[in-house]
Amino acid sequence: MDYKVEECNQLAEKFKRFELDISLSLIFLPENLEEAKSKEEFIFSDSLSDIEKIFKENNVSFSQLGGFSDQYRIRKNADWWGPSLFFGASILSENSNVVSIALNVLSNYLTDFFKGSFSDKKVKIEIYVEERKDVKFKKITYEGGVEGIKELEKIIKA
Amino acid sequence: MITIDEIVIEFNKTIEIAQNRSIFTRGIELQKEKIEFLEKYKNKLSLFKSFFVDNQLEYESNLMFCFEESVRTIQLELTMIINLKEDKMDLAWDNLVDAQVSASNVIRNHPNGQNLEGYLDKLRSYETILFPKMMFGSVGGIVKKSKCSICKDNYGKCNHIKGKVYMGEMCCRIITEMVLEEGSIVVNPADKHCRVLSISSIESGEIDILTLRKIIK
Repeated sequence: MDYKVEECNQLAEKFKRFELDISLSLIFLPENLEEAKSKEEFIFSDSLSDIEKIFKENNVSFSQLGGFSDQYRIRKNADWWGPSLFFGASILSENSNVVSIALNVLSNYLTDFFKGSFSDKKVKIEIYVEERKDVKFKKITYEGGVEGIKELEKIIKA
Repeated sequence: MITIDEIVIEFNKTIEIAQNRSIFTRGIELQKEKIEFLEKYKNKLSLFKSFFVDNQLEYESNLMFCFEESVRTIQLELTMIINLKEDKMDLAWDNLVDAQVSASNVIRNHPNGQNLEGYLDKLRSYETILFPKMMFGSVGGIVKKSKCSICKDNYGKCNHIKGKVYMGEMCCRIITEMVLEEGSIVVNPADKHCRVLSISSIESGEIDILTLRKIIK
C-alpha cells in the first residue's frame, strides 16, 4: 500500500473562513479548498457524482462541502481520481463504523468499475481526518490498487 | 414464442462458430461473410430486446444488451483481422480499441461477466503482439454541465451511474460544457483512440507510427 500522511492543521482556518459546518457526516471536500476564494469556486473530482450515488444506494450518509456544486475536474487518463473525503472528530467518535462502511462501499464499487480493464489502473484519493476538534487535522494521500483501500481504515483511525 | 433459454442457447452457439472465424488464418471472404451474418443476428437480438423493454423486463433487456455488445465485439475483432490483412493498420487499431471497450461493457454488466476474462486476455495480447508501443494524448478540464443519457437530467442529480445498463440501455454521462485545462502525452490513457499518429524529423520527414512508412502529403 502506497500512502503518505501529513499534518494539515490549516484546514481549521479554511472551514472557519467559509463558515462551513463539518460536524455532521462524512464530507466530500473540493479539490481546491486551499486556493478557492469563495464556495462558488469549489471544484470537486469528476468521480464525486458516482460515489455520491453509490453511497446513497448503500445508505451511507454524506454531505458535500459548500452544498451541491456543478463544477467537476475531469482527467482523461486511465487512473481513478477519487473525491477527497473528510471524517470529522464528532462522526469518528459517535459512529466509528462509518469509516469501514464507506471504505467497503468504495472498494466494492471500484472492483466492479475496474472489471474488464485493458490497462493498469490506480486509485488516487485524499482523505482528511479531524483528530482533535477544530485543532488537529491530518491528510492521507493514497495511490495504489483497489485492494489497499480497505486497509486505509487503520491509518485513518491511528 | 421463443424462450429466454432458447435465446441463450442460440447465442452461445452463434458466438462459438463466429469465434472459430476470428482466427487470423481463416479465409478473408469467410470472415467478411461472418460479419454480415452477425449484423443480421444483432438485429434479431435488438428485436428481442425491444420486446423485453416493452414488457419492462429489466434482467432480460440487460442480458440482450450484453449479447448485442458481445456480437459487436466479435464483429470488431473480425474487422480488425481483415484490416490487418488488407494493410489498413490505422483502422485495425481503432477496431481493436472499440472491441476492447465493448468487451469491457459486457464484463461489467453481464451476470457471468467474469467468464469473459479469457477472451479479454486475447484482446489484450493483440495489443501487445500486433501493435507497437504507443503514446497517447489526454485532456483534462472542468466540467460545467453534464447530463445523463438515460433520464436527460443533470448527471449529478439523478440516480443513474455511467457504465451501468438500465432496461437494455447503457448510461453515459454527456458533457455539454467543459473548460479545457490541460493536454498531455500519456502512456496510460482513458481513450486509446487519441494516439500519437506520426513522428517527424528533418532527416526522415514524417513517419507513420504504425507502419514506419513515410507519409507523403
